[in-house]
Amino acid sequence: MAFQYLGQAILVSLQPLNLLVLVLSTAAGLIMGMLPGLSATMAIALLTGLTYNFPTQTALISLVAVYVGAISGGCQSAILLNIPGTPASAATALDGFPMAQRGEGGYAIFLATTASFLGTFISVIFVLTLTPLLTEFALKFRSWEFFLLAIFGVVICGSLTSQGNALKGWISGILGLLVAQIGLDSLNTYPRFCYGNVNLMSTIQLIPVMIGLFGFPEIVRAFRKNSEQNVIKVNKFEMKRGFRSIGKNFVAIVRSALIGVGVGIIPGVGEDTGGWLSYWASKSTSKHPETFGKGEELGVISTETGNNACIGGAIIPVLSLAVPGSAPAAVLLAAFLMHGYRPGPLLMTESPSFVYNVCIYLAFASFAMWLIAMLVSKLTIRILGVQKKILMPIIFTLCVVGSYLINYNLFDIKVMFVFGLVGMILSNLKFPAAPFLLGVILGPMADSNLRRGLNLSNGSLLPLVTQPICIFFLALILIMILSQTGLFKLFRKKNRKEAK
Amino acid sequence: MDTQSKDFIFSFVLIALGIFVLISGIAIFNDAALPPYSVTEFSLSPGFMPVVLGAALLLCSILLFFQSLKGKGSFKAAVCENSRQFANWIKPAFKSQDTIYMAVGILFMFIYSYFLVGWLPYWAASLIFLVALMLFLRAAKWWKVIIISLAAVGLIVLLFQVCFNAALPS
Repeated sequence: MAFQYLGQAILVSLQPLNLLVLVLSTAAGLIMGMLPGLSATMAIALLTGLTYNFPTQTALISLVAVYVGAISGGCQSAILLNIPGTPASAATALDGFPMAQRGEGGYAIFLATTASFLGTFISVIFVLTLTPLLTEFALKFRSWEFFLLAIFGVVICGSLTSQGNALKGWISGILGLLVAQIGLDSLNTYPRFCYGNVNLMSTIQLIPVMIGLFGFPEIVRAFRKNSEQNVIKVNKFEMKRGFRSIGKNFVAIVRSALIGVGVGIIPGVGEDTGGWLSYWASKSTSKHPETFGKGEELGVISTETGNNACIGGAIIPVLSLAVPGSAPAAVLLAAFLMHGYRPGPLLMTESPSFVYNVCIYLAFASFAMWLIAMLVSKLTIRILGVQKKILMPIIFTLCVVGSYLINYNLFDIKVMFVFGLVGMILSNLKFPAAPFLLGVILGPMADSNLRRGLNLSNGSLLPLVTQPICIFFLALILIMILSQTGLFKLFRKKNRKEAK
Repeated sequence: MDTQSKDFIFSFVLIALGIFVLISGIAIFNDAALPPYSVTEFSLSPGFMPVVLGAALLLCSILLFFQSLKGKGSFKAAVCENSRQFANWIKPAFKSQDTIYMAVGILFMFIYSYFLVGWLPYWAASLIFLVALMLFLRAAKWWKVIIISLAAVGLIVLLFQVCFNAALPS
């Protein structure tokens, strides 16, 4: 059956319209990814609204392609400008820019793009094998488990995206959960926080929130007076030399891909962590670690393989548990929901072909990305020179279209603007936006399952500490919270003192 | 202003929000206990989750407040230091050119989102918005701005209204 689904997905991908969408979306993703300030998250958020009218499979191809393109495109600006287009490519700049400075910009781009392709491709194998296993496990979930899963998602995402202050991540997640309470409640249809507004009764739409949170702050930041960047001239790709280098470093590529997939699966950890960890692993196992940071090819290869492998890794929990592995994956989850799919434990029962479709689209997108990045790199380098003050106002008009097309409702444009301001405040105060979005996504699941669970247990909280999966999640949540309070460090210090 | 001082000010906003949500949750519980809903059990009430979240937000905000005072001496000294930093930051921040540009940019976006779109056809609203904002930002010469705006709006309308048959705001 699996092969039949895979075959069908290949046939769908090869339809002329879908091929065209694949090429255009990958190119759009590459451009968005390479422009500093336009993240992969924003690219998917923007495209989600725009693909609303597409046939479902075409929309999925488009979304997956833009994700792959955006993560991969970040390397070009990292290599040529020393400004990572996306945080995922931050480590690429360490060695890519010195390579460009010594006249090997084209060669570095070739290595980075090929490594990105391999990283995504290897991760597809893991999506195919791990997703059904995780889904089978998730079928054992009932109300309490779903509630704890939602809380676990918000807690871990808050911890891992908050850059050192987990409290801010958790507050952001709680705020998102609060936004999800607006509208008619799912059990009693009671209008919560609606104040008589009919638009609010139908709940806050996810896409305008997402576009506002991630797109708006980047747009407004571009209005500041900042200096223009000079782009370095690029040499030829030197493909023969590049393939030799890829072959020579294949072990490092596989290692980086494994790290990337592993990091991607952990909810809340993004592609940037995958890139950094892969870079660190290659540096620490290298015979010449002193060459890293000075234009080492392996540095570029490892980072790009690692961050792209995260794409597949991050999609695994999206498909099996409906908990995203990274911020762009959170947006992708929302996009899947919008297109009528219900990722989670029942996915393999309700839409068994979906996982295989996503895998094939990922594989096609990675191949398209490699080809397009090679073909249009001269053009994309020129795009890097486009002023943000021209680009960003145009992007805002697209944000308006994206928000409007969800329901053909002008109210959603206003919602996008309001959450844009919220996103700006959060960004200025260094509160991560990803847990906020995850809170909005998981809020209804947490609310309805908690109350359903309480109803079934006659108001008792006992199932939380008697059911094995609940105990597992509860322990994970507690460990996650306690690990952020510095309690573990205190224990370690005490133990060391006693040992001395 | 350092992040701690920003957190100090923001924690007050969050505490107020937490209290508001908590009170609203209790009000929802009381209201939902009456017909036609008649949900008298608190754990089943639509107000239950808001109360839980309000309490959680309140707790986290109080923790953020105390976190913002860390490493700044006694409680009183820390509060004074954070307040002083905020007062010193707010005036220059409002006078800074970056802030003015961003604030005016947001104003343009507000007028476009709330008034122009819906009042005018999408193409006209977007054209006015793009030309006005780009001219204000001095993104390019005026004739280039007009050409870029016309091309951008034309492409968007072509792509969505013609190719995808999607109705744009009118």
